[in-house]
Amino acid sequence: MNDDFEARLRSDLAGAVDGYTPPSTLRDRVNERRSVQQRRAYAGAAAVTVLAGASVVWAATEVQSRSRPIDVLSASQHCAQSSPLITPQDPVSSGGEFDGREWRADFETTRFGPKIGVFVDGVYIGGMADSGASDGRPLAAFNLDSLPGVVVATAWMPTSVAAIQLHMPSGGTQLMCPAALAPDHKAHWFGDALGTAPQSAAFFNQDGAVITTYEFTVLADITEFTPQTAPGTGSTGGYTIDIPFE
Amino acid sequence: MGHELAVASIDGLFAAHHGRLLRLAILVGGDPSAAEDAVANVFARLLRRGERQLVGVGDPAAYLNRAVVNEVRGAARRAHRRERFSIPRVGPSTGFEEAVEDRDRVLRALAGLNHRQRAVVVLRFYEDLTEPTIAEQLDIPLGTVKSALSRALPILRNRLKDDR
Repeated sequence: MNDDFEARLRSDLAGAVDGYTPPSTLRDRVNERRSVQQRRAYAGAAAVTVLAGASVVWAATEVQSRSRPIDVLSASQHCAQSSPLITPQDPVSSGGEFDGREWRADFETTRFGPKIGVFVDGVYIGGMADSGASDGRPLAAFNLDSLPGVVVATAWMPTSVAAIQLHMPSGGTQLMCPAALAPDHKAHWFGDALGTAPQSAAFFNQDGAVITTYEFTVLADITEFTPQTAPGTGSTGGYTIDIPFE
Repeated sequence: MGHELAVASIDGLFAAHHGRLLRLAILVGGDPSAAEDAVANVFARLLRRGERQLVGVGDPAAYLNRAVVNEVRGAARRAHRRERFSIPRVGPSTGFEEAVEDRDRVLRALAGLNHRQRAVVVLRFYEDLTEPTIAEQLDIPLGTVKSALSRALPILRNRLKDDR
């Protein structure tokens, strides 16, 4: 009797996840994710939950120290003078909305560190719920139609950030003043105009001190995504796109 | 260099175990999206900690099982789910009704168990591990494994019977 039940239980458990295998390619994963998004879009509230599902192993690795190829102090001071700092007291919201075209997720008032999500082709494919600060929801508002094959990260810092330095795969570095992360512009696209993601991003305070540095690693082939035209919102000539957050 | 070796090693573990761990996480946690996150986080944490995390790990599968089970539980707690077991209804609505219904039936039955009971049941009857191995992997006494099973099985029996 027990043996019968246990045998059936084994079969039931296997059947419950039978065929549930991770998609074989990143494109499949993205397509599947998008398909789920679209199905759920009309269900409204569940959209954010779906978007939080990470199909791709992705890591934002915090490192303790890194060389500074540029004069960060000068750059940070320049940024501090020319643009608002990222401050930690910005608003909290909850939930998110996806109307089938544009998705808006919340900015959590985490005090634990940058919040980063990875997007490919405008679709959230993974993120790091680091430091226990959230359940992995990406923290951006963006137009799904406007971001071609890029990796996007959004950052949220517990302390004021004067500058963000991006380390690109080419070996170069780019400095970003965080104006886009001021209260009315909170979402930020990291990557160059060709959709290349930075290998790491260092966050500096206005004294030029490193607050934290994240290295980005994607254990999947994102090169299959051929960058299309430059994103349709914001500047297309540089490596940052400001996305208004109303 | 060490980091590269670790990455290569973790990449290999990912290739070998990701699918299995994903299914394990779905059964233990009930939510495919959360399961994907949990498994991704386990690998991401491995990657972040690098090679040293794998030093002394004799059985990577056992190590990963434990990490995933703990991550599923931790994620649920962080999300203030308090062991709430959600069963998302995804998938095509035509053609696969029977399979989807059958899948939900099993997940609903598992939902009647607490996290530890689910983990023990899944490791015992899905991963086909022995009770001593489960105790070792979950780092709990053998007696706890036995009692979890003895309490879980009647619950599952009733729920699965009722649903048939």
